[in-house]
This record gives sequence, structure tokens and C-alpha cells, in this order.
Amino acid sequence: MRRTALLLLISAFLGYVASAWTGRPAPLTGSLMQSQAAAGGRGGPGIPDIPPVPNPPLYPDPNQPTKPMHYSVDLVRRIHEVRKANALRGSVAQPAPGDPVLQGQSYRTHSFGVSSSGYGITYRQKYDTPRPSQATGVMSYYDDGDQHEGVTDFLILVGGGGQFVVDGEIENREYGRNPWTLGRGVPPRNTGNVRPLLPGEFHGQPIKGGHVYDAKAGDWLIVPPGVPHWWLPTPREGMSYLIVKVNIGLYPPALID
Amino acid sequence: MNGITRLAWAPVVIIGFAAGYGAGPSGSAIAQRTNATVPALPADQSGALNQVNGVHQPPEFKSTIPAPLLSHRLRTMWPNQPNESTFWSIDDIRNAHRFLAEADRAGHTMDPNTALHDFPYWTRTHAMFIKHVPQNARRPLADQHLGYAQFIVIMGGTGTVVAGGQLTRPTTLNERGREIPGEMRGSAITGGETFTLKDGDWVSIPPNSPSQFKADSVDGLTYMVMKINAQLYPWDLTR
Repeated sequence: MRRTALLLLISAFLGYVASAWTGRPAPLTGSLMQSQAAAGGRGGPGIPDIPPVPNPPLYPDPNQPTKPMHYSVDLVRRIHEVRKANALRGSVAQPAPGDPVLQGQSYRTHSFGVSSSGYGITYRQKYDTPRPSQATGVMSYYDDGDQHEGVTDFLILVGGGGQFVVDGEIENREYGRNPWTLGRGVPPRNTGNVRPLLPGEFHGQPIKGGHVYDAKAGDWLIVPPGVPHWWLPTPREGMSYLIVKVNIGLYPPALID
Repeated sequence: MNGITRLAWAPVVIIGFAAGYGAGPSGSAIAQRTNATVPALPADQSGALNQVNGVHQPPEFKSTIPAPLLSHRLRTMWPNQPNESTFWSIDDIRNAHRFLAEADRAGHTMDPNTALHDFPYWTRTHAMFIKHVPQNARRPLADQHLGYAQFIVIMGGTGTVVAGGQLTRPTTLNERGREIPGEMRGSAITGGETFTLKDGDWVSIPPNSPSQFKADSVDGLTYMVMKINAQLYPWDLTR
């Protein structure tokens, strides 16, 4: 009986060793590794294993600015004067050679000095006669106000003056549409359904129930996300301002106007 | 008798071997394979995730909850942002600089953020502070911040900023024995660019780029810094 038990144990041990030998995974080399990856094993389809990074970068995005920049107040004042002169001539042209231009920066988290005018500084004017506004086509002396779901706007007024109208409600409010689709000079922006709709951008005028601030060069204004804002520039002087747009977090930059 | 006994050992050996093999790794794998039932993928997904006819397709997300119309009254995306705008006139901004310069000359130490209304201004994504650098600052430290970018507006006074390059003798900021990772300090900057500053100028400094401000007028240098979080970076680790 004792011998039978011993024999049973020895044969079980031999069976375990045989099982371990035949069940051992083959080393992952060459085509075997590729075939496993293609089958969705280990790193997934076609994706090699990525070794852990001890200190993962916080902002790995490519093409993020890494160079500090300085902007003189003299430069932005010159831009205002050029744009005011252009407006008085009725011109909305892009910068001519030799015109002062501000080179802004676009980060994943914020951007500034990025305007469709090409000057880096936004210029607003009061028109001599009512005309269809640039976005919704409301007949007005002024451009439409804005409301952005995805960004905070920090404005620095650099030239001219007038009034900021903020908070309250935008009347005649419409969804924004991508201003870059057809280029400039095809107002108003919201005519037809040619331009893609921006679901978090709104335009319209006037603003009802808001606060009005008299604004002059050097003033600051910060507009939280979702808060309407509108500008009423001084006749013939207009107003120029820089906008620092701060993304409120993981909002798609392509949906921001 | 002996022949019969030896004959009886054969099944003992077979049973033992089978039991040992079954308990081993290979046997376990076979058991798992036989027990697991892998559902067959649709033809257009088999072998390659998110591909239809060889073309990558984004995953489809369906929600039974209709998205509400985005409105500033429905605070779904930014529950912790301010409700209203804030306006600072240039007169108040200049007064803040004058106030800090006078306090400096009188030898008073004060928090610069008390010089202008609504400062400091905090949100989840960005925060704004007033800084004042006296002309006779004994040790104007060079700073480097991993967690945020800076947009700076000079409010008053004149001076310089050295930005970019590398910190000289960098150390991690230590506050009462607690190290603040990501906040580096140095005695100076090598290889940076020097900019001359005056009232109304702006400076943009990317995250993790060192900078050192110095005043060269008796009124010192006052500036507002907007710190833009590099995204989901803990504010309590920023200085």
C-alpha cells in the first residue's frame, strides 16, 4: 500500500513536470511578437508595448510654444492706428507689407493674438450707417456680440474706446458658424447653411439686462464662459483690444471662434 | 501474484501522471480554453478594432439622454467658473501700482493682491495675481513653474525680465520642510533672453520656462500675472 502511494506521487510529479514543460510560453521575438500584436494581444492591434514613463510630460502636445515672448505697448498702439486708418477708408484688408503685426501664441490651454484680421489685435468700429451685422445679419451700427461656452475671454483694450456691454441676455441670438470656412468678405456669416455650425458659440445683438462699462485704453475685462459680451466703439475712433482666450478645460479648440 | 500486482501499478502510474499534468500550467490553459466561450465578432470588426472595410472609424457613442441646449443658465461644463464679468479700469490699475510703490518707499510689507479689487482671481483653469518687485529687492529669485503658463501685463514701473534658458543652481521650492514638486527656484538664469519692460507691456511665458523679474525704477515694478493651468494640475502645487 505504501509502495502504491509512493508510485502515485512520483507519477503525479512527472506529470506536472511534463505539463510545465509543454505549457511554457515561447519567447516573443520577431514575427511571433508581431502576430500576437496583430491579434490584439499585449499592446493591442498594431500597437507595441510602451514602457512606463517615470515622469510623464504634462503637456506632450506637439507644436506647443516653448519660447517666451515680449510685446511692447508701442507695437499694439501702432496696430490700432493702422487699423483705425484702414477703417476710415472703408478697408478691411489683411495687413499690408510693413504694417505692424502682433505674433500671437496658441497653446492647448489658451491662445492670444490670434484674430481673423491677421493683425493679432481685434478692431471694432461704429459704422456710419446701419448694415447687416457680421454674423447674424441684424441691421445695426455695430458688430454682433459674442457668447462662448468653451472659453474665458480676457480683454485688454489697447486703443480707442467706447463701451463694453457684458452679462445679461443676447437678443436675436443665433448659433455661431465657422468664420474660416469661406474666408472673409462674405457677410453675414450665418447666411445659409454653408459654414459648419459651432455648437458652443453664439452671436447676436443687442444685449438686454447687462452691465455697461465705459472703456478706454489700458482697461481690462474678463468674461467667464457662457457670459454674453458686446462692444460699442466710439464713432470714428473705434476700439482695439487683445483677447487672451483660456480654454475652460478639454474643450475642442476647433469649436472656438 | 507479483505479476498481477505489477499489472495494477500501470493504472496507478497513468492516474498519477494525468492528475499531475492536469494540475500543471499546460493543463490549466487547456481547461480555460475549453471552458471559455469567445463571442464571434461581426465580420467588419474581426481582426481590427474600429475598422470598416479597412478604414478607421471612430467608436460610436450613443446616449439616451438628449443633450441640453447650451445656455449660460445651464452650468454643465463649468460649474466652478464665475457668473459675471469683471472690469478693471486703467485708473484703478495705475492707482494700485502707486499704492504699492508708496508702501514700498515707506518700508511697509503688504500683499500686492490687496491693491486692486477682485484680486486674487481664482478659477479652476486660470488664476490672476498682482506682483510687486521693489527696486532694492535683496534676492530676486528666478522661478520656473511646471504646472502653468503665464501671461503678464505690466501695470507700472520699469524693469527687465530674463526668460527662457536654464536656472542657475536650481532647487525645488521648500516650504517649512515640505517640497513643492514642479516649483523650481534658482539664483539666476543662464542662456535666457532679456526684455525691457514698461507700463502696458505684455510677456508670455510657457510652462516650465524660467523667468526672473527685476525693477530698475524707485517705484519698483508692478505686474499682473495670469496663470493658466497646464490642465488638471493641482493648484496647491503652484506658487
